[in-house]
Amino acid sequence: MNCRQVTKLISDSRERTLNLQEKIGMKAHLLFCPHCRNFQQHCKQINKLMKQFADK
Amino acid sequence: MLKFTRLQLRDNNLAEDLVQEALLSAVKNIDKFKRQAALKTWVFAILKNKIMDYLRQKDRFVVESDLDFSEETNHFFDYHGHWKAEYCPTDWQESEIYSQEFWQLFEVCLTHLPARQGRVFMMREYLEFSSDEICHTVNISRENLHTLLYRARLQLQHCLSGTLRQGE
Repeated sequence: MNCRQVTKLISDSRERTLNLQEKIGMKAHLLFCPHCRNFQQHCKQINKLMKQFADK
Repeated sequence: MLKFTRLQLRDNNLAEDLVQEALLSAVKNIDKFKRQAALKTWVFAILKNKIMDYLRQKDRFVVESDLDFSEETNHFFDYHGHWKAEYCPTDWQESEIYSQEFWQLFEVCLTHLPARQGRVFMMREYLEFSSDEICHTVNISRENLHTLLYRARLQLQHCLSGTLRQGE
C-alpha cells in the first residue's frame, strides 16, 4: 500500500469499519511511515478542533 | 450562530434569514425547552434542523460534473502515490488553548474548502450527522461522501500546517 491509499483508509476508518486486509495493510504502512502517522494524528486533532470551534 | 450558518451556506442573506427563523421559532416554542440541555445547545439544534431542511430542498440534484473523484486529481501525492515534498504532513504542536488568531485562520481554512467538500465536512464533523443522513440529504453515494471527506481532511490539514508546525 502506498501513502495515497493509506491516507484514504485513515480517513475512511473515521466513517466505517475497515476490513481485516485494510487494517493490516494500514497498520503495516504506519509502522514505517512518519508522514502518514502525522496525517492520522492530524485527522484526530481536526475532529477535536471542530468540537472546540463549535463551542466558541 | 451567524458565523456557523454562513460557513454552511456561503450566503450571507440566506444565513441571516435562517438564524432569524431559528431564533423566532425558539422564542415561540420556549415552553418546550426542558432545561435538560443548555439553552444555547437547544437553540443550535433548532438552527441545525433549519439548515438541514434548507439543504434537503436545495441539494436534491447533484450535477454530475461537480463530482470529480478520479485518483489523478489528488494533487497531494506523486505518480507513485507518495506524499509530494511540499504537502508532507509535519509534526503539529498540540495545545489546550489556541489564540484568537489561530481560530481566525481555522475559519479561513474552512471557508476555503471547495463548496461541496466544505458542506459535507461541516455536516459530518460540526453538525455530527451520520453518513446515511448526509448521503440522503445531498444525494450522493457513500463512496463519494467518503472521498469528499477524505479530500476535505487533506486540504484542511495542509491549510493548518503553516501555523501548527512544531517549533515555530
